[in-house]
This record gives sequence, C-alpha cells and structure tokens, in this order.
Amino acid sequence: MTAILELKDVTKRYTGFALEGVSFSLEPGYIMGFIGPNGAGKTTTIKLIMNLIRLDAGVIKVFGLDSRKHEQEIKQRIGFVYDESHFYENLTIAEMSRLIAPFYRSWDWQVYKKYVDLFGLPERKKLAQFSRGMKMKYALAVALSHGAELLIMDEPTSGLDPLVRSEFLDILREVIQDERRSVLLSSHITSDLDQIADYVTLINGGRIIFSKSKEELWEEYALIKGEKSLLDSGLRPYVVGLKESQFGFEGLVINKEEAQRIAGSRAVFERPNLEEIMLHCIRGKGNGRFGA
Amino acid sequence: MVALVLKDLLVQKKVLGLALLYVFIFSFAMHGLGEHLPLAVISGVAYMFVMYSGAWDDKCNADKLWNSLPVPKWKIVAAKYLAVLIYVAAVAALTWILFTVQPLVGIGDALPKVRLDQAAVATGIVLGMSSFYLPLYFALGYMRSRIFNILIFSGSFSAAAVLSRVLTQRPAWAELIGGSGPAVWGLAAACVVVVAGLSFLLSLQLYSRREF
Repeated sequence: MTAILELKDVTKRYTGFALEGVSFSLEPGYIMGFIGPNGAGKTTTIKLIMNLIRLDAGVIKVFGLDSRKHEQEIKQRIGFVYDESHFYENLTIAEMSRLIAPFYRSWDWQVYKKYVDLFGLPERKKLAQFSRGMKMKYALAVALSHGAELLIMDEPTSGLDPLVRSEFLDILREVIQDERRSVLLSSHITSDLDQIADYVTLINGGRIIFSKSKEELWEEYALIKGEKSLLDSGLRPYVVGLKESQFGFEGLVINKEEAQRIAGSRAVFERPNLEEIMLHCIRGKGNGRFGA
Repeated sequence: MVALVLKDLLVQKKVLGLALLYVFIFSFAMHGLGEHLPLAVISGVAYMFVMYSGAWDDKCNADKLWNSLPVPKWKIVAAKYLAVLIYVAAVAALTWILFTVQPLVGIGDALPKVRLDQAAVATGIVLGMSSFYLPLYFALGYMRSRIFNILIFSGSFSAAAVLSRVLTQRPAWAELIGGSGPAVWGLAAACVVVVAGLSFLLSLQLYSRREF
C-alpha cells in the first residue's frame, strides 16, 4: 500500500537547531500522533510538509507525490489545523469561508454547514469574538469541508482548557471514525493521543526517536519498579529511562518479555502511557534522578 | 485571484466605509494645492489602502493561511497589484462625489473639479509607489517594510510638492506637460506598466523565497 505521507531523510537547518534525517511514513486511514517536547521539531516538520519552509535535504511525498513539485494538487487534498488561528479576526466565519471556498475544487457547502451546526459555530459572529476553542473548531470545519484525505494538525489542543480539549477530541474522534481519513496530529499533550492514535512518532532535538504503532509500543515497552540490586542482575541493558531513589528504582524497559524473564517476580511491570514513554525516552538513564 | 482581491476589500470594509471621511480630511489638509488637489487626494487615500491591506495580513499572520491553501504564490502577489487599481477607482469615485456635491451644498471654498486625466495620473502614481513598496513588503513582511513604506509615502508627496513648485516657477515646462499629446500619455502609461510588471516579477521572486 502506498503511504499517504512519507518523509525520507528530511533535513532543515537553522542556527542553533536542526532537523536531521527525519523519516517516517503514514498509511492511509490511520491516525499518527506526532509527539515531542516543545522545540523538538514538530512544527518545523509540519511546515516542511506544508511547504511553508524550504527543505535543505531529503524527500517528502504526500499521496505518493513530491511535496514541492505537486504542491497545489497535494494541498487540494489536505486539511490543516494549526496551533493558532490564521483567519481574519474582523470577518465573520461566513465571510471567511466565502474567501476560502473558491480555492478548493471539492468544497462542499452542505458538509461545511453540517459541521458548523454540529460544532455550534455562530456564522454571523466575528472571529475576534470567538474563543480559542471555537476558532479551532472552525479550522476543523474548514479542513473537513473539501473532502481532505489527510488532516495535518499542529498542536490543535494546546492552550485549550481541559473541557474544551476533551470536546474537541471527541469531535475529532467522531469525524475521523466516520470518514476514514488519515491524520497527522502533533501534540506535546500525549494524553490526547493515548486513545485516538494508531501510530506514534516521537521526535526530540530534531531527530526521530521512534515511529511505531501503538500496539508495538505496548508490546515493546513496560514500566518497571523494583529494588536497585535488580538493575545489576542483567536488566540494565533493557532500561531506556531510569529514576533511582534510596528505596529502589522505576523506569521504562524495552524488550518487555526479556526484562520480565530476568526480573521474575522481583519487579512490578505496568503498561506505560504515551507520556511515560516520551518522558523516559527523552530523559534517558539518570543516576538517582532523571538525567540525559 | 478574485477572492484574494475581494479579501483585501472585505478585511478593510470598515476603513473603506470611512474613505469619504479620509477624502474630506485630505482635501482639507491639502487645500493649498489648487487644481492639483484631486490628484493628491486620490493618490494619498488610495495608497493608504495599499498600506492597510498589508497591515491586516500581517496582523492575522495570513501568509501562513494563504500558503497552506491551494493558492499559487503568483496569485497572492498579483492580487495585491490588482487591488491597487480597485482602490484608486473607488477613491477616485468618492473624490468625484465629494468634490461635485460640495459646491452644491455651498459649504467652504469651492473645490476644483475632478478630471479624468487626474484619475489616470493618480493611477500611475499609486501603481508606481506600490511598485516600489510591494517587493519590499513581499520580501520582508509588513512590519519590517513599514519604514520603507513611510519613506515612499512621504517621499512621493515631497517630490510632488517640489515638482509643483518647479512647474509654477517654469510655466513653459508646465505648458509642455499640460499640452502633451496622446504619444506622451501613452509613453507614460507604458513606463508605469513596465515598472509595475518588473515590480511584480521581483515581488514574486522574493515572496517565493520567504519562509512562513
């Protein structure tokens, strides 16, 4: 199956920061959570996919097409939601939509109306009077109104209060399940992705740490708690992230089955959530505390 | 591209609504220009809209939006140039209305009549000023090009004032310009079109290099 989105050795260099050799791919019909701390390179990667910044090296293919050579064709089939609203604040959403719609060949006013009603967006109200949550919902309505096959979302839930965030995610889950779209959703709020993501790509310091299905992550990684002496009985090579205290340790192990065989009943194993995997993978093995 | 021009008009609808007031204020402020007043008013007010449209785009960080939509860059650039002509036409119409109605109402000194050739010259002036400004705007964005904008705006009016003084002191020159035939007008129009065309190509080149 052709990947709907494919990045191969993507590089972008700035003074003081570089995205180096970023590679991952997304199959049609799946949701990929793109996670990493602030400044990890998530937005830079998304800007490269959207051709908002120039690529220094590597290849980006969307729908199997080169992102630079077929930019307009690709953008016809992409919906986007950014972390900030880029709509004109002094316009109503009815006016704003009338400006955007002519650029999409497949814009469907009925679909647009359906989402505006579903999200409870007042059409005659100026965007300046919208809350942040409403602006995000409007951006989502626009993204869904032209039959986009791929949704690209850059931190759409950051800055939203928990209630609105939960509502936004519910809507997202609903529309994605209905329409079978592919989604690349970047967020540093990993709990947003725990339930909806099929694949997870972790980026840190401009490099991809892993890009795997969530099932693979649950199979490979486990949280472990036990006595410190256990670490020196052959377990340490499997430890990805570690926090030691005077009473024992807790950490993240890779190759869960082998770690369970070594530790036996002397350790407690738990399934980690995405946040725990991200934190341990980024902080690594400390010595009595989280370290690099 | 029509949608992009419409966007520039729509985001400025409040300012456009106040255009008549601007025309009135400019007419009052530049009353000393005599028969050249309509030319200065149309040029000044129309160029203000060029400035405002950039300011709105910058305020809403709209470049990121338009460059994420399936809109070729050349359309984004061309729309700004096309909008200049619409601003001039709109302001010229408003100026004509005000300058025609004012003597009928009989308030203040009579304003000069707005001539078609003045509207044509104003189109050339605003297009010329925009041709210098827009490449800087597309290269640097509104905020960083603002200083150049102010320089172009004030520089153009200073140059016009100097030219007006020179022509007053040398009536022969004024007669030569005033009595110029279609060939001179055609040449002037061609020059403006060439300058605007080159400016458009430069703007496109610079905008294509921008990152958002």
